Amino acid sequence: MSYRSFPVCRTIIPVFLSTMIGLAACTPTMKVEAPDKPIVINLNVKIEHEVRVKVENDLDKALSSNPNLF
Amino acid sequence: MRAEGQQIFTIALVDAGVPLVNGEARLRFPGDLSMHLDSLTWPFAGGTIGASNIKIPLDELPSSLSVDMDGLDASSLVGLMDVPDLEARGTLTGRVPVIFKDGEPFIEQARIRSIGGGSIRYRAQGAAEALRQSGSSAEILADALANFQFTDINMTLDGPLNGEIKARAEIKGSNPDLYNGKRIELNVNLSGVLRDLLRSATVLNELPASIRDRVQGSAGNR
Repeated sequence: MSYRSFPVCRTIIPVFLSTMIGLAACTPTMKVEAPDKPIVINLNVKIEHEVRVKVENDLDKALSSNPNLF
Repeated sequence: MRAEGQQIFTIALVDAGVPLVNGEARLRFPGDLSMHLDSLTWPFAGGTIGASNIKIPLDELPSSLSVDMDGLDASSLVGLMDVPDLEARGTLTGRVPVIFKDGEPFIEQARIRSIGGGSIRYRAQGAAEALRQSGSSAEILADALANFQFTDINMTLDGPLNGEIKARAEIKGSNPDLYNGKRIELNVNLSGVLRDLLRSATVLNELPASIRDRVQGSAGNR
């Protein structure tokens, strides 16, 4: 006696097999990758040279008035 | 004025914001109230800086000229700026067109770029710490600059030579010690009176003593 003798088996087994094949084909794959885009850093710089000149001038004055400072 | 053939002059010093020494000019005077500048070069920062093929009227300023920079060594440039804990390696080249408006020189669409790759390392402990405390982007910047290996640098400059210049630098590369060497693009917008910055006394360190005394004499009178 073969399984083909049972009408239920004749229906269920092909449906089960085709469902499993379908599931296997749809199995999602998860891959963790760093985004391809580069890190972008934007920087705004304003040169305030006057500050430095002022400090140097002040230092000159301080040294002139106190020659033994150092 | 007229002279037969090419005349060669040596130029001890030109104070162009950055003092330039030991230049050489190759000129011709065709006798039509003009001089033809075949070439004008100074050794600078391991490379050369200069101009070529310009006709200059003897009784007025030229309307424009282009300054060529060739083979400038980034390490030497950083040495001139004398910024503590800043190191750089690489070679820069470029062209700086200068036009004259009412006698005032303006830089117009200057382009400077790197030839091949190089590196920038800025490891000032105080500055890096201040950057880290300024926010996440600044923290990444501080970490990136600790050992930044660049592949490209592209810079543009515009503005009056005696006034505020706007510069933009696009630096592409990565730090192999940061995020597995993920690519980083650093865009820097810079504005300020570069001439004053370049005039600062630290630039004078590279000059021979005799010329340094002359330059410091004029700079010290500011």
